[in-house]
Amino acid sequence: MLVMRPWAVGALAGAFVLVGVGCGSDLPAAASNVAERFYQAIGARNGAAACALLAPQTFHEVEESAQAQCATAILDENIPAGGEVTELRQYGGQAQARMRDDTAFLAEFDDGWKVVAAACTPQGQLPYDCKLKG
Amino acid sequence: MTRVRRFVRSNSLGVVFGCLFLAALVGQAFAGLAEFNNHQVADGLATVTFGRYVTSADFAVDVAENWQSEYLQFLLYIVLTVWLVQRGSPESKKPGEQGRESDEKQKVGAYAGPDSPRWARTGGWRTRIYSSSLGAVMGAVFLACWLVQSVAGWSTFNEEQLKQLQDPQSWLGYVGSADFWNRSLQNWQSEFLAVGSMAVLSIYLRERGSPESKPVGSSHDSTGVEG
Repeated sequence: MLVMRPWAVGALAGAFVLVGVGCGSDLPAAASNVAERFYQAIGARNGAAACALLAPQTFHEVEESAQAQCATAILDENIPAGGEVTELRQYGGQAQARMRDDTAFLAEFDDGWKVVAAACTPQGQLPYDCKLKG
Repeated sequence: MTRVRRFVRSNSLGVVFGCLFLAALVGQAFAGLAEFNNHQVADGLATVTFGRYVTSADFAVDVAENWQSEYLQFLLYIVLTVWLVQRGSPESKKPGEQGRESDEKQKVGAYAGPDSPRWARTGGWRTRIYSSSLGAVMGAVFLACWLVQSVAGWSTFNEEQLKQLQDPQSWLGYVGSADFWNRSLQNWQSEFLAVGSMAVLSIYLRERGSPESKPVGSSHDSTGVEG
C-alpha cells in the first residue's frame, strides 16, 4: 500500500519537522483501516457496521435523503466494492483513500476516522462527484 | 539594584519587544484556534484542542508567512541602505557615501580597535564573513521561514482541498499556486509600504528622543542624523 504523507519530501525534512505537518494524533494507517472496514461492511451487506463508520453529517444526510434508517438506506446507495486501499493521502484531519474500484474521503473525529464521502468519481478540476456525502 | 533589574534596565528594548512578541503570539494562537474551530463546526467536523492547533500546519503557516516577510523587510533594508540613499532621512547615509566604505571607516583589519570583535580584527575571510553576517543571518531566517510557510501552507491548502472533495496538490504545484503567492505578496506589500513610508516620513516628521528620528530641530535636508 502506498501511503503518501505530507512530510514525505525528504529534502525538506527540517522544515517539515518544524511545522509538524501531517502529524495527526493517529497514524495514516488508521484512516485507511476505517475505509477498508467501511467497504467490507458494505460488501457484507452489514449496513449497521457501515453506518457506524460514517461522519455525523454524512450519517444524517443518508437518513434524511432516504427517509429511512441509515442501516437499511446505505445499502441502497449503490456503493461499489472498494477493496484494499492503494493510496492514502492525509493532510491534518482530512484524508483521501483510493482503492481499486472507488475513492473515499475521511475526516478525523474524537472517536477516530470517519467516512465523509464515498462512491466518488473524479470530475477533473471540479470536486469529486460522490453518491454518499454529508 | 539587583542583577535582574540592572539587566532589564540595560536591555529594556529587547525585553519589552520579546514580551510583546510572546503576548501577541499567544493571543494569535487563541484567536486562531477559535476561528479554526468555528470553521470546523460549520463544516460538521470535529473541533481541536489548543495543543493540537498550535502544532498544526494551519497555525504554522499563519506564523511563518508573517515571520518571513518581516525578515525579508529587514534584510532588504539592511542591504539596500548600503547602496541606496534617501536625502533628508535619518535612516539613510549621506548622498555620496554609498557602498561598502573604507576599512578605516568600518574599523576592520589594521584599523580595528582593541574592543573590536575578533573577526573584525583578524582580516581575511573571517572579516569578510563577519562584514556581511547581519544580512546573511536575516536572509537565512527569511528563507527558512518562507520554506516553512510553503510546507505548512501546502498542508493547509490540501486539507481544504480534501474538505471540498478535491484532489490534493504536490508541493511544487502549491509553490506555483495563487494561494502561496497571495499569502507571500500580501505580506510583502505591507512591509515595503511601512519601510518606504518610514524612510520618507522621517524626512519631515520628528519623534523627540527617538534614535529613529532626527532631532526635532534638524533641517529637513540633513541626512543620516539620528536624534
